[in-house]
Amino acid sequence: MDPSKAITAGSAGDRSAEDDRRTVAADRDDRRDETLVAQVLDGNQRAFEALLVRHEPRVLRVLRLLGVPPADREDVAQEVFVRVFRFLGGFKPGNPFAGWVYRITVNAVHDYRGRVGRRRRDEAEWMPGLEEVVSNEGLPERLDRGMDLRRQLELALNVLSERERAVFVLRELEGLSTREVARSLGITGVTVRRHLGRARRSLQRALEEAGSAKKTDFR
Amino acid sequence: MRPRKATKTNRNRSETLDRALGAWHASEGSSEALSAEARDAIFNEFRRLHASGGRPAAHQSLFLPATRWAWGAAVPILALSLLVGSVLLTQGPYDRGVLVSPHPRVEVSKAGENVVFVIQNGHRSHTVSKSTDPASVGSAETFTTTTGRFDDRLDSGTDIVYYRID
Repeated sequence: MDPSKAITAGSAGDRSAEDDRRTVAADRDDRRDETLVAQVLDGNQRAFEALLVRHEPRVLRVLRLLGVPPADREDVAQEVFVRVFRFLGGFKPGNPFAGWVYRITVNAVHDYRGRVGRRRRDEAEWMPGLEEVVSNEGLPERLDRGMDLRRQLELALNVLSERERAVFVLRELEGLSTREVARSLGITGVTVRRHLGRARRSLQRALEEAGSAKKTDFR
Repeated sequence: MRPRKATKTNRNRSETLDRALGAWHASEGSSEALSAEARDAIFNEFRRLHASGGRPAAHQSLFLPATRWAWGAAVPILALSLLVGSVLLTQGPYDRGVLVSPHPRVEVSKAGENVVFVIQNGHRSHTVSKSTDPASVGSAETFTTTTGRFDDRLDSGTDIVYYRID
C-alpha cells in the first residue's frame, strides 16, 4: 500500500478519534515533563537524564531537518540541552515543554548557522542539509537519483529560507499547530501561515521539477 | 473551462508535496539518539554547572512577601505626596510651577539711557502706564509686558515721570 494513502485514507471519524488520542497523550507527556522539570529544579540529576532521554530524538530529528550536518549535530544537541538546563527556571509550567525545547533548538540552529556562515563565508563547504548538495542550483536533478520520496522531501528543504524551513518543519513534519509554531518561533500566526504557504509552493515546485526530469530520463 | 483546469493543476501540485509528506510520516519511525560520549559531555556539563552553583532557579515572582509589604506601604505615601503636590501647585503660592509671592517686588534701575523695571511676581503679564501727571497716569499711554521686565527710554529734561504698574 502506498504510504501516502495510509496517511490520507480514513474517515473523518477515524481522524477525529486519532486526534483525541494524540491530545490525551500530549497532555500526559506535558504533565510528566512538568514533574521532571520540578525535580530538576530541586537538583535531581536523574530527572534531567529522564528529560534528556525523552526529548533527544525530537531534538536530533529537528536538527537534521533544519539542516545541521551530521558532523555537527551532536555538538548542537549538546548546546541545546545545556541551554535547556540553564534556562529551565524560565520555563513556565502550563505550557508544553516540547514547544519550549523546539524554541531553544531553533534558536541554537540559528546561532550555529551564524557561526558557520561567518567561518566559511567564502567557502562552499557549508551546506544546509545533506552532504552531496553543494548549492541549491540544479537541485531537481539531484533529487532525481532514484531517491525515495522521504529523502527527496528532506533534500528539497534546502530550497527554503531559514525561517520558511523552520515553519515547515515544525508545522508539517513535527505536527505542531499554527499557534504552537508561532509561539515556538516568536512570530505571529499570520507570519507562520505566510511562510508556510511560500514553503509549500517552493517545495512543490522543486519536487515537480525533479519528477519531470525523471520522466524525461526514462524516454 | 479555464478555472477547472487551474484547479486540477493546483491539486496535482499539492498532491506531489502531500505524497512526499505522507511518505515522510509513514517512514519516519527512526528514533535518533545521542552517542554515549555526547551524553557524558552533557551530564558532565550538568554536574559542572550544578557544582558551581549554576543550577537553574525556579521561576519566582519578583513580588516576594517582603517586597509586597514594601510596595504596599509605599503606595499610600506616594498617593499622599502626589495629592499634596497637586494642591500646592494649583492653590498654593505657585502658578504653573512658578513661585508667586504674595508681595510682588519691583526693582527699578538705570541702564544707560533706559530705565528698567523688573517685576518679580511669577511672570504674569502687566500693564504699565506712564505720564508726567500723577492724576492722569491711569489713562495715559500703556505698555504690556509678559516677561516681568519692562524697559523705557529716559526722557531728557526736568519733568518727573510717573509709572503705574498693574
